[in-house]
Amino acid sequence: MVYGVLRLINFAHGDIFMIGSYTALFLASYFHAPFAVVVPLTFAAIALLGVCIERLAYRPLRSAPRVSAVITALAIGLFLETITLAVAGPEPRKFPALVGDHEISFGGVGASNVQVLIIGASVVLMAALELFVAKTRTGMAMRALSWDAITAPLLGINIDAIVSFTFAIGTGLAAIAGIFVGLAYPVIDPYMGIVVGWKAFVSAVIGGIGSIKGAVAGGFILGIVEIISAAFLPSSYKDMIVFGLLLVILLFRPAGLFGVPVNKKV
Amino acid sequence: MNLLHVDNIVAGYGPLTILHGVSLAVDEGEIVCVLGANGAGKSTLLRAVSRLIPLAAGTISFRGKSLARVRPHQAAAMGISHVPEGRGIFGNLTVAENLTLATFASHTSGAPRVSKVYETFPVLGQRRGQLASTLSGGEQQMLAIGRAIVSDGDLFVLDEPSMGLSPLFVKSVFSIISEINKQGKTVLVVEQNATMALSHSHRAYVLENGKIVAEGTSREIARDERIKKAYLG
Repeated sequence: MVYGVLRLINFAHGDIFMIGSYTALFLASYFHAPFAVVVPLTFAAIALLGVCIERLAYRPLRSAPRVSAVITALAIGLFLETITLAVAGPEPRKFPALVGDHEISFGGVGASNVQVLIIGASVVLMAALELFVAKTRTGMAMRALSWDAITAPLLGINIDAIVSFTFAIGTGLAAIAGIFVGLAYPVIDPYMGIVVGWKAFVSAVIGGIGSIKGAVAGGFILGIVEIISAAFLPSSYKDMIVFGLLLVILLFRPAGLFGVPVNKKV
Repeated sequence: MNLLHVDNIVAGYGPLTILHGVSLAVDEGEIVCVLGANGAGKSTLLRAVSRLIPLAAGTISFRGKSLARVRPHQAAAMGISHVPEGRGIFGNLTVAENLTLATFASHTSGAPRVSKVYETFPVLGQRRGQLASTLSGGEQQMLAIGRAIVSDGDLFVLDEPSMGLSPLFVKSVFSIISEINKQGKTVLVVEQNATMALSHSHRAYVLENGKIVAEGTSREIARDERIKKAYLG
């Protein structure tokens, strides 16, 4: 999302996801907030955090060479990890069971209600995001910005507002993902975001970076490859296979499986 | 009071100064052209007017209001519709979306003006669902002007509208500019195509190495021997 608009790979994304998970844990265990309150509050808090990060760290670098922004993103990731370490401590925390877990079955196929909730909510959120970018004026402005950020303000588009909004949505959704992962694998720690962030990056590259549909497809491909490799090979090879896949894709289809090679007219 | 008043501005890119004290004025209802060779500073002048680049010195005012602290999207909302060099259309958006985007600058619904653009340029109407990158150069220029019409600014700022177009298209672009002017819009246009620009404008300035070296009515400038030699061949 952020890459699509800004051509900035936000390497702090995984750590924002981790902060989202911790925020939800905090809200649920200290304030005993119910699930229906935790989700919107976490989204809002992390969206605000994302906007602040953009304002303080990325905006001053907008016209700087891209590598400066990437290094800054890595630093922000480290910053978020260490601050979580300092505040919450290094030991893994138990994520509260916000949703009572029970088994439901669809004609013989069993699944837990948590799994159904996660998959259902993810599909709804992704469809909403896709629809938003495709149909609304703000979504249109986001796409325009990704094509030509110099011309966009000449049409009255406030670039800073659109970028802030993009960061709010992107980081807010990462926080929701943090809650979902907390529900599915209820032990969280300050470093949980690193591998997830990298895998999100790999999914995005496999699918074609900057495309929402591509990222979803990339995620599925990644998951399937992981499970198959874990079934036939020792499971510690899993990450090696996944990142090997990234290298192969970058070598043969740098635009990703569903991406269109960038050939901007000048 | 001039609609646009540029007073002794100095501007450029970083350490590179392009404009060394340029002044010009545009009155309501005029078509004013700025002639100059490549690298004279024509685009830089327009980019300064629409606030894409900062001023090192001098002032620009629009309707008597200083633009010193105005940001480009605010300048657009105040009524400066800049059609940039190279047209600046969004190739990843459809023709219709490109036009809709232009309503960001105006405070009203753009629907009637969008249909007016389709009337003026029927080919855009036929292609409204197509990605703008699939349009020809001439069609892209129509779209860029169409966007300015939808923006509904009071001052149209056009950067080399004839660039890369066939002579036939150049003619129709300039007759559209005259048409827009007749409907009450003020136009500031920079051009290398001096013949076309002078025959379709009221007043002209000549820009050389970041300085205004001549100004007058377009008729006077067209008769000036020096200008004839340099720009009219």
